Amino acid sequence: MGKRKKAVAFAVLGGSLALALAGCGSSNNDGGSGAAPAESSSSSASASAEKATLNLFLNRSESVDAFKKLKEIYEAAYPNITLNIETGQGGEFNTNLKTKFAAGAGPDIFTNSGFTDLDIWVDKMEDLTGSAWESEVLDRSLDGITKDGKVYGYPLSMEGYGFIYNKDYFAKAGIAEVPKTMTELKEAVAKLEAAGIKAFVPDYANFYVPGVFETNNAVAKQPDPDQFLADLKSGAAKVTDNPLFSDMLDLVQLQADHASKNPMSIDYTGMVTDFAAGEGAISFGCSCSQPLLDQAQPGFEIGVFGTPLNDDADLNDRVFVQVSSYLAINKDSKVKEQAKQFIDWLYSSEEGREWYVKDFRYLPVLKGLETDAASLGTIGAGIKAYMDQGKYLAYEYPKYPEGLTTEWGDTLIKMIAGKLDKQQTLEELQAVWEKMSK
Amino acid sequence: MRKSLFEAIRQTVFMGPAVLVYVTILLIPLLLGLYYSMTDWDGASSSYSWVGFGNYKEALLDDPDFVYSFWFTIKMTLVIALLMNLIGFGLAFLLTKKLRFRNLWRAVFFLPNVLGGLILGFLWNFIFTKVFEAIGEATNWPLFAIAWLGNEHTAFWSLVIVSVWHGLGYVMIIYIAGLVNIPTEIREAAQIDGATGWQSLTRITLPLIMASVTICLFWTISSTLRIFDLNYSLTAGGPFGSTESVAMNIYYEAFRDNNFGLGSAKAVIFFLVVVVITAVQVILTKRKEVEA
Repeated sequence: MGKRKKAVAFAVLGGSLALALAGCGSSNNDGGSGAAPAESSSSSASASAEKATLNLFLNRSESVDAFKKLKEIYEAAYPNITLNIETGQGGEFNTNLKTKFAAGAGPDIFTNSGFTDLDIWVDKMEDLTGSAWESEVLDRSLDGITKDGKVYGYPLSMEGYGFIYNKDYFAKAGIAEVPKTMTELKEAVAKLEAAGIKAFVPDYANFYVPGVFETNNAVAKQPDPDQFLADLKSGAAKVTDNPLFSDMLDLVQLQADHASKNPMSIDYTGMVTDFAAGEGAISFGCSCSQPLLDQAQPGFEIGVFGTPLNDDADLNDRVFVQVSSYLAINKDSKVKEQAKQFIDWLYSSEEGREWYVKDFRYLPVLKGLETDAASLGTIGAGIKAYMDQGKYLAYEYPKYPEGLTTEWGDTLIKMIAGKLDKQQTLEELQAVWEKMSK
Repeated sequence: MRKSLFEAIRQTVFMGPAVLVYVTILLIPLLLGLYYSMTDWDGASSSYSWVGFGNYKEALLDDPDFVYSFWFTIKMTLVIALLMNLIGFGLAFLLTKKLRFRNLWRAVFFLPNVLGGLILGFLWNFIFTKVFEAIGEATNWPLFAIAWLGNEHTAFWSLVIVSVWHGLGYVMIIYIAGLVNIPTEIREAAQIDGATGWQSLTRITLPLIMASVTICLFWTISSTLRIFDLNYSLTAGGPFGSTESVAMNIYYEAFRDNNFGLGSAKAVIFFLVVVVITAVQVILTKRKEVEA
């Protein structure tokens, strides 16, 4: 209230500049514009002379501290801009975003996960084709946010996952080299158990790890994943007669059979904390799990390796990486120019790049952005090592029909619960696909 | 003339705000929901088309998960409503006797009701997965050694246990209110006529608190049918979707799977079912109510 009064008083005093402020103030006041007098900023862009509030809604709530820092840095560089950053996680993020748009209060900048998520939101997104950063980001990193040849978002964060292992335990069990094939993995499991160490800490309490990580292992290793998904849709390919799916189920079963405890009682947090507590030697690790892992066991010595599901060493010695969120601009936003300027600053400015490496700490999407292992964290550094050698595959699950990861995850959990045998599991995976891809 | 104008103003002043609130937060969303239930809107895009009753057909005929969630919810409602009312009444009966620390006991049983379902869910999730495990390891009792949330039967009972514990206090308070309102002379008269404790409970007390029974049954049935927050935070529908309540199925359909139209159709079906079930229950128990 006080702020609005102040703004009114300012409008009376401030002449033409203030009129412009009042004009866009009606839509932006709720964010609480900082009420600092607009200095003519050192930056040359004319749009930046006006005061404005940028409302951001981002799906990376694990980085909330980094965003606070971002707000400080950016507002110091652009005193006339107020960044209003809100974060949300997972399913709630999408629900909230829908509600915001339905209420006519769509954020100026919001995150999108690409692929099927792009299809849902493309109506609301500004076409960003031709932006300067298009040539600065890694090859293929715009695939998920390109539709009909138009680019709709800036790749913000990149993530990767693979198996993570306890280096100490591997040394104790006498495993010199990380397993690259299923046979080697089985040998490693035998060695670990001979040394009295539980092999796996799997999360089968929840759909997420099986539905996303495990099934992606089978889909991404197809010779041409896009073609495979298209064939599944048209009926030309079936899960039931696909050898990689059958192999993937063997890997799932192996983890369940050699789990540290009843795998259906380990949820995601339990998986990371149990692994950190040394309950087992191998677990799924995503670079996004780093904060939780660091919290549970700072300075924990871990390594990363591929998720082998058969004996093809070249195919299996790979991790999975993908842009996990893109920044999109609301096409009905009143401050589009400022939003574009923000993204430009993020990728090109010294402070923006430093924030990305030191605070945001995701795998870099920008070409030639130097990072260090300390900032990336143990998992990120392990993934980066694979990326640098070109040994990676993509996340294919954002291309699945909506809701499929949940259903596929539930099916795999049924197998682990002993409700379905392997053949029935394959049949249910196929049946669920047919249901969800309608 | 003047009088009727005055009456109209009075009605508007007193009823107006309530009607306005009712229309904006209940009636309009309900009508909008009805409208969307006949479209294929995904919840975000600006274009969608009219599909008539297609969504209703799909929900009822082609969605076994939705039908399953109905049976699951009804099964759970029956068990929870029964247990909550039996135990709630039992407690109320005990706590209207002359007991030491009677008010303290009432407060203890009412306390869980003050906590929100979401927090309780997370709390009990921790208890079932960590505390039970620790007890199981220390004592080797099979009851604690099983993964309570890891199998569909125990996950069902986990929900029942937590719901009953949560709602018990509320039901108990209503029964206590009913019990203390029974005129003592009636009970004394029964005693003088030689009625046993059991006879006076079933012939005198129960008929006289049927009004409380109606309220408690209505509340337990309708709130358990619409269970969401506890379900969401305790089991999240798992393992493998076996504990997914109808409300959760609708939420996932509309918001996670981006089928707002289909989700709305399910919500309308659900709304009608809840209305029918609770109406039947209220009519049946109302008939049994008597005046002292």
